[in-house]
Amino acid sequence: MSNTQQRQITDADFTPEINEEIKKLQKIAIDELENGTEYSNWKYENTVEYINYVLKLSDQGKRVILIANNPIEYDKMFYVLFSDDFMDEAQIPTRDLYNHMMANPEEDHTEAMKALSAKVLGQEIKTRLNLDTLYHWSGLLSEYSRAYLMWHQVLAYQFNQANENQKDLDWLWANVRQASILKVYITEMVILVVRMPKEIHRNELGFHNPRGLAIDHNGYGKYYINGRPMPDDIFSKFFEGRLTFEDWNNITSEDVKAGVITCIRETQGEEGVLKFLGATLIDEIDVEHHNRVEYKVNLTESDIATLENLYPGRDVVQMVTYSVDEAFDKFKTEVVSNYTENLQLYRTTKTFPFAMDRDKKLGAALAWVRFLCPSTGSTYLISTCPKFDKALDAAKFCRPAAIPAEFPYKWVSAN
Amino acid sequence: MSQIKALLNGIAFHQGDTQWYGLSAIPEGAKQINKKFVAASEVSGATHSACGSYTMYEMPEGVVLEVHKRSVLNHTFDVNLNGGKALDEAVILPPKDHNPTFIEKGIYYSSPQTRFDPYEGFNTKVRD
Repeated sequence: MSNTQQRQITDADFTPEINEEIKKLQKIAIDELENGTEYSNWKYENTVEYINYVLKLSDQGKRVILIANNPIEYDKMFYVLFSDDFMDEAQIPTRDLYNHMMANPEEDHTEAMKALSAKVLGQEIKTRLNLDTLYHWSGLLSEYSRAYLMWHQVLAYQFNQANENQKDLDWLWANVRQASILKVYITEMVILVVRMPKEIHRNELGFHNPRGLAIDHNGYGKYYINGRPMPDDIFSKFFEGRLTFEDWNNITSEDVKAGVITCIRETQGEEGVLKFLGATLIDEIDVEHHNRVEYKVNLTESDIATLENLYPGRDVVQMVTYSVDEAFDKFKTEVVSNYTENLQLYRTTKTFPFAMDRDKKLGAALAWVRFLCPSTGSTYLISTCPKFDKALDAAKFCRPAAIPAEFPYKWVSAN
Repeated sequence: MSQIKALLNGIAFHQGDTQWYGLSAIPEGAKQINKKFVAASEVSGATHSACGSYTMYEMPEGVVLEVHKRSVLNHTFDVNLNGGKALDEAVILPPKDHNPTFIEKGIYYSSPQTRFDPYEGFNTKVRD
């Protein structure tokens, strides 16, 4: 057992100094993963060493460790290793290597495992893969392992709550990033591993990359804008420069349309957006809305003590922060902030034979009101009638049909 | 629709593409329904859902909420609604994109933002 005395950690323990240390550890955990350094420094040997350490900790014998560079390779290797179609090409060589490893436990088998990975990956598969591949969840062998191990570092060295297995936890923390494991599939003879992505891009809202893949497995991955997943077909076409204005205009989801426009705006500015649309800015206005009221929690030490008596065992600061019950209003201060919204009206310079205005007259131009989402910052271009000359009138026209034009365009809250 | 116009009390707010307008009374013909999400995304599976003490009514092109006690409008995944149970509790649920909005006691009409369809020559509901 550890010599340190276990105790409950509360919010009060998170001093500014400790929070600063936690931030540093979080940076260590993810910075090199996100910027590509971890991917480029990765070595097969590091993953093997880390997995062998975990196997030893759990009293498990060594396995043949085969590593895929990305989820597509993983799907293929999974199929080759575990379907009946590749007995001679994959399963027999895997069993042979496993038997050799068992007979020669002191040998280094990394090169043999590398060669087998390449052999498995090199098998020609004639059918199109559409696998629901399996993974095992493990606290020490997944994308979350570094977070789990990081918090053990915080417990041990910031709160003096070392674990009885602290030496192992320290070794795992020191090596988990070099192992760079995303997922694993474990069998008696073989562990199939898929590596972490090459790069991960994000902003304060979540995954985000207006220049390409947000989760990049070296050319394959997922697109995200402001934390929202974007469809592969449309976004790969866009980043290859093949998405036309007509393609964009036919997208039915406003979120996806906004995703494309956000990419253009963030990389080419407003001029780039207008060029893509073949449009000009007709009108622009800053609308001052009603002041937004938010709440700030203002608990004294005496309030905390009183509430803790009333609600034993509860985190009363969190409870008051997130409660909307009026009983807690006395502990909150209203914070009033000004909210000004910039509205822009765009219209194409040319007309289109298919396009109508609201009088159903064909051969009209196309027009949009530009709204910026106050929560996500995404740029929404909402189609409007091209007959408007004022951005405010066009924005009012985008309200529900029951709301008359004379009703003021002013929000008491906008999220 | 002209009935809504006559009842507007000047309050308006929005969360994403759902817009909310304060009313002075429940419109005639509003049909009471069981609580449900106000709007859902076709792509992401996220919903705009009012959580708290209120009665819900159906109207053409929207819903009316008679909010009895301060409630919360959440933008959250359907799974967080806990099979609809969360609609009865004024709680802030994990947000998907849009921040939660407090809805004070009162009567509100909600309907989606609209967009002009140049192929048809009239407005349709915004889709996401």
